Amino acid sequence: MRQSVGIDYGRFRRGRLAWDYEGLMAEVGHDLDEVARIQLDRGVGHTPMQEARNLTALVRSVSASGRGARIFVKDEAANPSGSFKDRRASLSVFEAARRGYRGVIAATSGNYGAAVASQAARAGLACIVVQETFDSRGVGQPEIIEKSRVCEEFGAEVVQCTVGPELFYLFLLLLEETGYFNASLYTPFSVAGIETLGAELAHDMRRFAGRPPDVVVVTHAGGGNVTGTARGLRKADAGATAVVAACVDLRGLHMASDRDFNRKSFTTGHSGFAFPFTTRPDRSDVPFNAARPLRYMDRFLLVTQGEVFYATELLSKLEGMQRGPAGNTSLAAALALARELPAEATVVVQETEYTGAGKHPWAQLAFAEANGVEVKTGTRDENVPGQVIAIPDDPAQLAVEEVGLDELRQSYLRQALRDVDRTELDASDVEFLADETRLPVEAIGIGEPLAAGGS
Amino acid sequence: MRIHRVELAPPERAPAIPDETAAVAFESWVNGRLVDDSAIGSRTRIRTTTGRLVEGDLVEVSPGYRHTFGSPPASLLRAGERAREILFPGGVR
Repeated sequence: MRQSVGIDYGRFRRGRLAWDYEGLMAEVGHDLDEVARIQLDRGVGHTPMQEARNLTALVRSVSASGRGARIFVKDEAANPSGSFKDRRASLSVFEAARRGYRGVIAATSGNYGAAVASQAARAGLACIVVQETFDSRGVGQPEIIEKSRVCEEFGAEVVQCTVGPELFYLFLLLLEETGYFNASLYTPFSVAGIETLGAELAHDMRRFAGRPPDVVVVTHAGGGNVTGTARGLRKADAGATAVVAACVDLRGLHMASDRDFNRKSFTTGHSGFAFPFTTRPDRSDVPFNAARPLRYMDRFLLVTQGEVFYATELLSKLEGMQRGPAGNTSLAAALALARELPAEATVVVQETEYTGAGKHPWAQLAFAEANGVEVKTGTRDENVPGQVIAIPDDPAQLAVEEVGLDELRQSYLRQALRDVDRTELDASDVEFLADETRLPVEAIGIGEPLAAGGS
Repeated sequence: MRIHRVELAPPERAPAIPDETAAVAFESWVNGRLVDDSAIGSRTRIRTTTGRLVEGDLVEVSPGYRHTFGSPPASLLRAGERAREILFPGGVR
């Protein structure tokens, strides 16, 4: 792994659990302005911020007097491959080229593959994208098929796989065979690439509203988007902005299930990634994950598949913007949040993504029906992941389900401390866990001598 | 040209995966140019766009993409129409 990303991760180890997060992020070797310049040279970033006035008006039509925040949308679909993932890929591919690799490789079924392929094409590097594409019947998720097409369009080799974690075994074999750079989503390069988005948001909103946004809603899966955006906001002196993580509720579906695979309409931005990557970030394909969402999120919200399709339809019909749907997860949450906020507050939907055949809501809903999922008009309570997609037909029905951060913090600690002999932990470990969870050192509860047989 | 490979047979699969996944093989597909003359269904080798030589069963000549936009679902259209009625009563100007 050291060879494939050019980082000696062992150098950052500090204690039994502790490692130097900021030290790892400094491996990027460029400050925010330099990253922005590298991206600008590659056609990435400086995307338009748009005020969604009709969406705001719709929300206000169902809000109490004086409520209904102004909604803004950062149109990241304007990036070369159609999503904010170009920010992540641009820095990774830049680094691969600078370090003399002949090619890059990424394990991803989503927009990131298209972004790596696009940036590799510009840099003249070879590119392999390994995707989880088909179930055992050979039926492909149309959104992922579309991503296969885009990657091939950009000249990448696409290895399409059936469902299962063995994709990473194949990925490692390919890394070994080719010696390419691992353009992992979880390196410091990938996360630092998103910091420019957080900083741009702050600057955009200073122009629109005279101050940074009150709330930024981020579609959350692997944690890089939340982490990079929040870090960028802080670097742009907008640390007071609330960072809200939003994901699609797919609880009940197993992410390694051959049967469940084609019964979901979202291949990322969902709870199947968001929960595990929030509470155990180092489950990724690098030793230390640079995406640490629990350090940065102020709220964690779940929306239903039906609500995201509804938000996508509203964006089309009221704002004339055809995007997503997966990237509109944050939009669905933002519409619900805006209703409760004061009218003078501002909410930024932090990204959009391109749409196309396969990805488009019509394609996804037709595919859901073909796979036995009922699609109907209905409220959020009627959604059952893998069985029913209920689409609201009234803006007053938009809502979110809040997941308590304390619940996530305790889950993080349980998993971090499982299989660890606590007598091996020292002050650096306690401090690290406090930073990871944003809990006071006293609340970590491992500085105390442990009772015999304690867990 | 498109080849298919069985990467792992069911007994070789990772532990702790759901039963329905463990019961089937882990497979892969990749596109490239044919190295040797071969017929559909036969074992063959392709050269991929990165120059890799990969062996597998030839399953398709000139593979392409047939994913579509589908048809608009009634529930989605109704939701959009209602939102327009709220915002633009009396019809869109």
